[in-house]
Amino acid sequence: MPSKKLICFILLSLTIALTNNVNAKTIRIAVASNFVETARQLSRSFEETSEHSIQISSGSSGKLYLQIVNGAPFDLFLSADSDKPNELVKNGFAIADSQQIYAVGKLVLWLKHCSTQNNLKTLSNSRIKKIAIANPKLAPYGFASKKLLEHHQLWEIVSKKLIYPENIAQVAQYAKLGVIDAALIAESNVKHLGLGKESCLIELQTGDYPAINQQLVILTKSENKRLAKDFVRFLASKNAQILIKNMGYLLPNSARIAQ
Amino acid sequence: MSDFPAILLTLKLALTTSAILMILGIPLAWWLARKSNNSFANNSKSFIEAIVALPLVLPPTVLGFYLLILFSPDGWLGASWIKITGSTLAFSFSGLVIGSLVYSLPFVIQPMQATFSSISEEILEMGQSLGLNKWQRIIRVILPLSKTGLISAFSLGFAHTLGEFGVVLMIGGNIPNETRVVSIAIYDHVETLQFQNAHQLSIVLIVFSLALLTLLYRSKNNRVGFS
Repeated sequence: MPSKKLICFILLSLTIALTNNVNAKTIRIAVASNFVETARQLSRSFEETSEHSIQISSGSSGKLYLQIVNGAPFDLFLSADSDKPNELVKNGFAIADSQQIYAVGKLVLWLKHCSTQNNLKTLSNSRIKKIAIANPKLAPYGFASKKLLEHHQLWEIVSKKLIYPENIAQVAQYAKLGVIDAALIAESNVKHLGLGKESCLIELQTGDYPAINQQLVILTKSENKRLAKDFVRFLASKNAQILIKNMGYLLPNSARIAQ
Repeated sequence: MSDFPAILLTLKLALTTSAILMILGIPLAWWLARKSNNSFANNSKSFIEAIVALPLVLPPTVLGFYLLILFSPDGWLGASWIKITGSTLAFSFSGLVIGSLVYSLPFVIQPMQATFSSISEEILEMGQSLGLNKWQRIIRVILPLSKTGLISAFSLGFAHTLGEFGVVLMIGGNIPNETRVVSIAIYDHVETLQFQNAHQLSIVLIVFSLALLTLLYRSKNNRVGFS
């Protein structure tokens, strides 16, 4: 009977498909929104050399933290800060000696319209009506932005113009839509967005704000710890480091940090 | 409680929004409720009804995204707003009101439309034959007959604006006393892992909304008991 043959064929191909994939696993990574584009490119080049695949879930570090604590099945967590990895290690959700900095965030000043003199002092100009910085309470980039403005004695002066998007990606989104006049954004956002023709970007002294150390941790509940470790090792490779740097991050000085 | 300004702001937003929607909505709902035999009018009515219902089915991100573009200083609305008021529309209380008007529109229009549809032609004609003019008919006949519908329209608009989140997250900018409403404040607390504060504020919102809805349904049920 032809239908019997067909069933046999389907069963056979299913078996082959399943046995073929028996060794290939999926590493699930939770990535802070600012790093998601970089993580995508990194995982693409990781997958070229590996039979395993990578699945990325992104969100704010706070939300991802909450999901991990409540049992989300991630293997690896790339946070935008060091507080959440610290907290996870402290409460037994992450492996202590896996904790390390994978990238250091960099702030730049974005102005919608360039003038003759473009620097942080421009923000106090009355022409600038709305300035976006990431929410200092929620986002590490926001905290650094606040410290930067305080360092330059601008916080009081510009505070009436400030708006606080929930994360650095939303700051970039507002800049791209042109609904704000100025913003402190992550250089990594600028790299793949291309923000306006008349707009300009001004480099900032990294010493003027606290370092935005983005840390990763391997999670205790992971069933693919060895694979997660492979990926972390890949992140420290030369090719990966070049990519991370090109995406607008600084590289960590030492791979592993003291607790 | 440090969240008191957020509660006050939310009440102000919900009150302003539902009040404006009542004023704008009554003529619109009346027009939608009165059937016409003209097929062109019927088609245009269906289209308007669909537009009114659109915020029910669209995700808040779509509304927020287009409102943001509309409010931009480069957009026509945002630009004229700056000319008139001197301040930007995006990330302001006025911007939130406009966003909420769109977001809560169906919740106000639909109950009013239903209630207006239930008023029979005979009653209106009776009013006319008693020599009441247009305004007298509105005040003495139509409004008393549609009291329950108007109350539920107002309360639903109010309650729905209280719980607004997605749109505000996109067009608000989280400015204290200006655009940081209760839902945003709760979100901040959850994100920063301050669960105690999140619970407190959520309970305020839940209790308040529950009380409002209970009152609303009680007035509806009483009404059914009468007739």
